[in-house]
Amino acid sequence: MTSTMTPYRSQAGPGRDGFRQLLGAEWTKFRTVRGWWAGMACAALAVVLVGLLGTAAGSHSGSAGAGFPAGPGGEAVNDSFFFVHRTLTGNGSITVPVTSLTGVIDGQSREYSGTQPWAKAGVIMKESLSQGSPYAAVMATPGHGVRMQYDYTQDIAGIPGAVTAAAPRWLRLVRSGDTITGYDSAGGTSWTLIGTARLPGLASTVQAGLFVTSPSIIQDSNKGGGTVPAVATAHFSQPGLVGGWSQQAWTGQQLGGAGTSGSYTDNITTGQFTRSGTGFTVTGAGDIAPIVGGIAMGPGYTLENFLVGVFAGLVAMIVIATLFITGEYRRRLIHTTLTVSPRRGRVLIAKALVIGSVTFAAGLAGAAVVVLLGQPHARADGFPTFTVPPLTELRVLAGTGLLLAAAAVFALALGVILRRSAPVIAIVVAITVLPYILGTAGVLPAGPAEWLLRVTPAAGFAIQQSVPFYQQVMNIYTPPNGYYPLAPWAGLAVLCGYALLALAVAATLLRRRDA
Amino acid sequence: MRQALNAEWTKLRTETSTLWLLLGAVIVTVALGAGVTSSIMCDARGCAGDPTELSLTGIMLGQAVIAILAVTAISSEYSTGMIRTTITLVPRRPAVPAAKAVVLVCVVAAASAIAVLGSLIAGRYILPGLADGPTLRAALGSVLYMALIALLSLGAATAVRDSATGTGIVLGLLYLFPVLIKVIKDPQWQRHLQQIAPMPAGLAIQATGNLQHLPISPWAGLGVLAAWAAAALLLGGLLLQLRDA
Amino acid sequence: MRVILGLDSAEEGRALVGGQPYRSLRRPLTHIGALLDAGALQPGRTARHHLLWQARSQGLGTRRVDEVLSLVGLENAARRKAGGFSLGMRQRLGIAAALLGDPPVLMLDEPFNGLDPEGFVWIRSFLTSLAADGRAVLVSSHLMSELQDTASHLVIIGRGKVIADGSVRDMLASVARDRLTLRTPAPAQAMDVLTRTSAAVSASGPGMLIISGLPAEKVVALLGERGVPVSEISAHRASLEDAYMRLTQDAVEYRATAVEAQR
Repeated sequence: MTSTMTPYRSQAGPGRDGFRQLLGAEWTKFRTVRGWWAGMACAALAVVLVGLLGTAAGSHSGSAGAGFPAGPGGEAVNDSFFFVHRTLTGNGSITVPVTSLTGVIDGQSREYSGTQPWAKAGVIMKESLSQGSPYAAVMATPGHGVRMQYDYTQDIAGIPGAVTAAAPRWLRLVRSGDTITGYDSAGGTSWTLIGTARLPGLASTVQAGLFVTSPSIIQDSNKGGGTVPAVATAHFSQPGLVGGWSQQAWTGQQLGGAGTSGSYTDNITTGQFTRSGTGFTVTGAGDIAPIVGGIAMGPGYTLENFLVGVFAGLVAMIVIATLFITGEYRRRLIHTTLTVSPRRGRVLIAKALVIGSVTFAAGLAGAAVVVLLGQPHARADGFPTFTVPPLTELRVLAGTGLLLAAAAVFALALGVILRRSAPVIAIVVAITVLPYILGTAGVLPAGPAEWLLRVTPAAGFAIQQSVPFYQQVMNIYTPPNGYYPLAPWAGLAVLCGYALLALAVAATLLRRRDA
Repeated sequence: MRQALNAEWTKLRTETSTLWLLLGAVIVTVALGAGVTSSIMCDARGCAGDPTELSLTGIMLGQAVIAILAVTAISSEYSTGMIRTTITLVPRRPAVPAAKAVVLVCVVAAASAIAVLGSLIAGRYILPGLADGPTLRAALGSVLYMALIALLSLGAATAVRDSATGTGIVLGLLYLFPVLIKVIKDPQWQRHLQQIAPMPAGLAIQATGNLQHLPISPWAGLGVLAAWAAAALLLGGLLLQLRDA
Repeated sequence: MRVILGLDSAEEGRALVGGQPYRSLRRPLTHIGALLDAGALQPGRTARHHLLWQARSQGLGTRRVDEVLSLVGLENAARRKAGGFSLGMRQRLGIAAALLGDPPVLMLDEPFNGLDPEGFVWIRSFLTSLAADGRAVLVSSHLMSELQDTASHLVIIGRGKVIADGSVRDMLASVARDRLTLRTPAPAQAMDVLTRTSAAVSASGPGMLIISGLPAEKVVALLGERGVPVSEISAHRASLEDAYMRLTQDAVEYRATAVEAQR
């Protein structure tokens, strides 16, 4: 039959089917299934609830509201040492030779002599006796020679080698306004400048004098973990003073208790100083150093501890991201999707963007809320919280959102490849969470544990690391103590690499396969 | 019941993915176990850690594969609509998951036995000093552990009827507790959680030394996991009975 | 159909829509709208939202969605979850989706399956009206009796080959058998009269005769001459089913054991 009618012309009106429209379609798909968006909300809620549960369990007998002392830069610090001091007003200097530095270590069955390599004995100028106040110090250490350290995080090396009677170490600090300069000398005659410390706004009256301190020895888990108390004793000859020193006698006291990384022994329970001829013998324990992750944290919570709920949220978000694609395969909706949008690569990218954005937002929201609510609550329970600079906190929170988004996109891509939900969820959860469990449990030696956290998607958790590394603080910097082998963004990049590789494979399969 | 068993066995053995999943479980268990044991340092005094327990670390990964198998054994019936046929043929509904449970336990136990044997052999070649008596308990216990994981997964999936949610719930139950335990600072709470969490309690069966320092004794730990599995199966069976198909 | 829509790749040959492969079409729903699987729905999504995401992908909005919903008569069920729809409602929803882009070509796979009589009548008249607008409506079906009155052109495919491709009228004409059905209160008399002619006559039931070889006017005239009363005389219409059976005799792949039809 020949038709005499004119062929029909579509009157659908103008419009485009570009990428923006595709995004709109995928977003509409997501938000119109209650199970999915409600599930995302529940995942964010899980981040909050599990995080609060983990950090609110029990209470600690510390004083409520107590935190770690904070240094001038805001970092959490230990500020514990035995201080033999007088008041210095205005400019001046102190010069003193250290003639011996020994120590006592409290082993399991008996005490024996020995020192922690970072035990410190020397001269210090400190703005006040309050915890965390600015200071500059020059000291001798048993294992790392003479050091100048100031404001807790700064460390400069001086003359190497241990202190012996035949090889004493002469130390000098010179204060001029806001600047304190440190010098050392092997013989007391020719002086070498070690470094210069600028302490802005330093009060004109400071406390200055001799100090001795020693951190505990940290044993790694192979030997049972835990700390071994160590106390140091140093002999100083007559100090030489120049400038506005007060005429009072030298006062000796322990500042800051023993802190979280130092401890006195059963026999030597407190620091002390005695006169020996014109000099002093000073004994002390503790540390003047930033607080690092692990045992030094004591009963305190780090930022990532509050984010323990992220694991619960992660599982839920992986389930939803998987269902976002496998649901289409199961209901044969994939045919409709690919008929409506035949450019398949773009469909996949649109889906990835939608699920990634939603996951990022939910994860970020959950993380922000749990940190906001959890930290005051933990402090009220007597647990100090490890404070970090705002930029670090932002990195941790935003990074948590990103790592959840990357895991969701990874699951989406695997869902295209495998088309069945149970294997996808099992694979993504197992290779993201199990390496974390094995790596941080302390069962594996550091090498293999770090390998797991370098090579598997669990590397992404490095973005959450908030504990800092300081080479002048002796610690076991391993995953069980919160230290990841990769830098934060590098670890996240590994996880994103998995997701992108899976997306590439998924795009190829999606284009080639029959729908 | 015999007919139900027959039917379930036929279903399981004619499903192509069953054999692949069981094979996969064996491979990942042995591979991870061998990897862990080869990374442990040993000196003259002995190895750091418990050699048997370390050889059997692979169970932590193999259990995920077993969970897939058990979850899809029941949820695939819902997704294809076959559950209506099944319930019509077996009107006494609780017999369905019961028969599935029996059949699953048999195949999972067989595969786990192979996996455990493989892991221990690899461990024996790499590590010296695998004690005999306690190792036997650890081996047998690990096989039972895998069977209980299968039952836990079956019960959870019967209750939620959906493979994605079921898998998520099971893996969440298994993997989230250890992470939580590590964060908690209060030793009392830590101990309690280690006693009631399915994976840490269940894996206590693998310990061969230092038993007095464990938070829960080996067989008691396995019993805790058995309680979880029983509760899941009960819940699943109850919901199956009460709900419309 | 899946090959036409770019879902499956063909082992040989090409399928083009408007001269282009489907996968390179811009705004494909404005070129061709298809309904392949009415059951392809997310049960938790409402009908309106099911259409909305498809509309958005073509740059269309809620207004168009509401338009097509009222076209197919689903405006009252629009905010119900698609999982609770009956088969008829799902078909309507699928047709609505196919119409979103107001395409000049519609392609429907077995749209009549599982419909109740009312739905049936509705679809038939709806498709006819769409075709009357000038659209090409392609329907795949095996319900001969219904298509006979609706379709204007037929393509029969069997065992991967095109067996027939022509207008329905021509196809029916090729199997027209020129038979008449006669109803009379005096069948024996009529039989008597007619067997003397060259026509073939057989009885097909109480008071019914089948006559072939004579035109209807001649039969009426003959019987009227002899005074035989006639209640009804009608042409035995050729059916599409007959045409189909004849054409596909050799090409059917799966054949159930035939049960002889009573004629």
